[in-house]
Amino acid sequence: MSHPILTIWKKELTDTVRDKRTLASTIILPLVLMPALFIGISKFSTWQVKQLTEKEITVAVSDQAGSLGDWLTTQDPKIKLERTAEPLIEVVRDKKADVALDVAADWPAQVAAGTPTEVTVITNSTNTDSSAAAGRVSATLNVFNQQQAVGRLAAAGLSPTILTSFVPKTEDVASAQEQAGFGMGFILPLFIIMWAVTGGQTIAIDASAGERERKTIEALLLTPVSRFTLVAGKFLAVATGAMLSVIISITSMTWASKYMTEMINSTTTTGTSASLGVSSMTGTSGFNMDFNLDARTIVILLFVSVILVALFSAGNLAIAIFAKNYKEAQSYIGPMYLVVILPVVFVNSLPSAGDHLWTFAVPIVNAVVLFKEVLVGNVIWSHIIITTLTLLVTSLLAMWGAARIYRREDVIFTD
Amino acid sequence: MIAVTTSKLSKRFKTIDALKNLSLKIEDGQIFGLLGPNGAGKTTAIRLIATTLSATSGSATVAGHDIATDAMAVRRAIGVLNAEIGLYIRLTGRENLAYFGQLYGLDKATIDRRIKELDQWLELGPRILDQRAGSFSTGMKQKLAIARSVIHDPRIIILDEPTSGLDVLAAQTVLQFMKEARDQGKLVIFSTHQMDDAERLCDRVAIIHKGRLIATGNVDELKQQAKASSLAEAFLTLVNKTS
Repeated sequence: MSHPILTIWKKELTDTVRDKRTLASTIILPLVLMPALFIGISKFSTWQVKQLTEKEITVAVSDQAGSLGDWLTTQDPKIKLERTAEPLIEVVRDKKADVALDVAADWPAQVAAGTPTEVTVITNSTNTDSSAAAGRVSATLNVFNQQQAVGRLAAAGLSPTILTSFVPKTEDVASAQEQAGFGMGFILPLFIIMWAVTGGQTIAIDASAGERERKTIEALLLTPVSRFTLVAGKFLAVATGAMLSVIISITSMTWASKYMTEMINSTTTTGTSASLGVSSMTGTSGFNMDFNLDARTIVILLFVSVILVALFSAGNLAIAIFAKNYKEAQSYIGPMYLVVILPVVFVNSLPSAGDHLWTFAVPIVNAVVLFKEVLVGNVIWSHIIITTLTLLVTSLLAMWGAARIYRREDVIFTD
Repeated sequence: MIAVTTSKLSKRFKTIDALKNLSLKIEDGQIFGLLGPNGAGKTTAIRLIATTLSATSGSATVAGHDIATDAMAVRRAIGVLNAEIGLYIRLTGRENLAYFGQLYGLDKATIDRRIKELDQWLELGPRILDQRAGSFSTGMKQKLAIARSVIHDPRIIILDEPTSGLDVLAAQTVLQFMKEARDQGKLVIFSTHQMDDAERLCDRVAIIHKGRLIATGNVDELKQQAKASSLAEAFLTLVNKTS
């Protein structure tokens, strides 16, 4: 004969496993969403970069451009030249060409004399293709400038190196693993908290508002089981679901990062910069994806996640019982996610969030800062202890609050 | 033997007296009708006796256990069937029964034995026991809800408006169940506003109106008291007198 807490826990989990809606939000979503987001956005960015660099662009020029147009096509074979007598501005406006190049008729003489000549790249900033084409044409014109400069220096008997005094070089003391952890520190804490909040929500709703909607709550309250036991069993089920979501999201994300590493390595060897997507996602440049979680990091992440999950599970359960049905519960619980995640996003973007000890005494915020620290291999025990104690106290208060709410007749028996 | 006693049992919700000074003594082996119009206080009385609500004042004992100090023992002694049939739709009938059996502290062997007994008594059959409750008809749900309320073989069975919203066949199952429970020596407290059912089944009745007990006795006594030919007529006369 098992303890009533375990009986309730088992029943709630059986209910969960048999409910497609709960199963989807607790297991399938964190399993699929993480890699889909991670890999999908990156692949999309890579594809976009490829599109921008390899797509054929049309450049309109007047007769005044002379050989400059032909020179452009020799530098970038994907440039298609459109010689026209129409006003160049109209050509771009009417999308007959992506960009146009307006240059004075005497540019060859000016260049020969070493006098700077204005070249206007006419573009339409409301057209993405036009903006991208303008960038490519400008970059190609810079090549022209460099070639001219090298030629002029050579003519004067000077080496092009005369223009350079310092060659800046950067040496990073962070290991590849630390760099990867730093990048992951922007994403992983967010997702851990996201799944700690949302992973158990459907179970919480089903176990509380669902009981009221199905009219099973009274039969349950009639059993010789204390309200605390009842709440504890349900809490355990909600926490199990949420923790499962967190573990799945960490696992799938680790897998996705490994997949990304392989993808970046293979595309880098083929000469395409594939790291743009990841960089833009993480806000870092040169983001290293060589990401492995060591045992100590995993233990700390999971340990803190368990307490976070306890906090959010109790909160979800306490809020959901106020609702009379599933739909109402969703509208009550929905804002909880925003209330939690917005400050987390804010703190996550602060570079010096972990510099002050007090940040580790602020529930939820402390977990984010701690996760970031741990992911770069920075294990500071005082931070871990303060975070743990703060979260534990908050979680216990939330559980106590949930148990009290379940004792309230006006909440349980409101029709 | 006295199974339930209440003494000046009262419940106040903010400014409303849902139940005021209810004093009753109810013996075993009978069907006791708790009659009253909707909102009279019947459900409140049942919830107080069943310990899901706490009394504002007064006291009650159920099977010798005080509702205020020994709620768990009270709950073990009673089985309650509510008006609204609530079942776990993703669990089979057997799982529904086993879950409540476990919560009542029964071991697996006892649960299995009780399910067998209830299967024979209520003719649950494999359709109810082995399929998920979500696919059940109202009648099947009602049978399962009855079985659930007595899975722990309680001495006292309380039914709160058990036939409201049921079709004739499903209602008949409930009424038959009450008779058989009484024949087994149990006390059945039957809360209803359906006077015909009450007149046919109840050995004794109590009429509650606006949270107060206005009459108690057997059906004939109440009819005589109100000089009425039926319980329904007696009920109306007594209720109107106090309004």
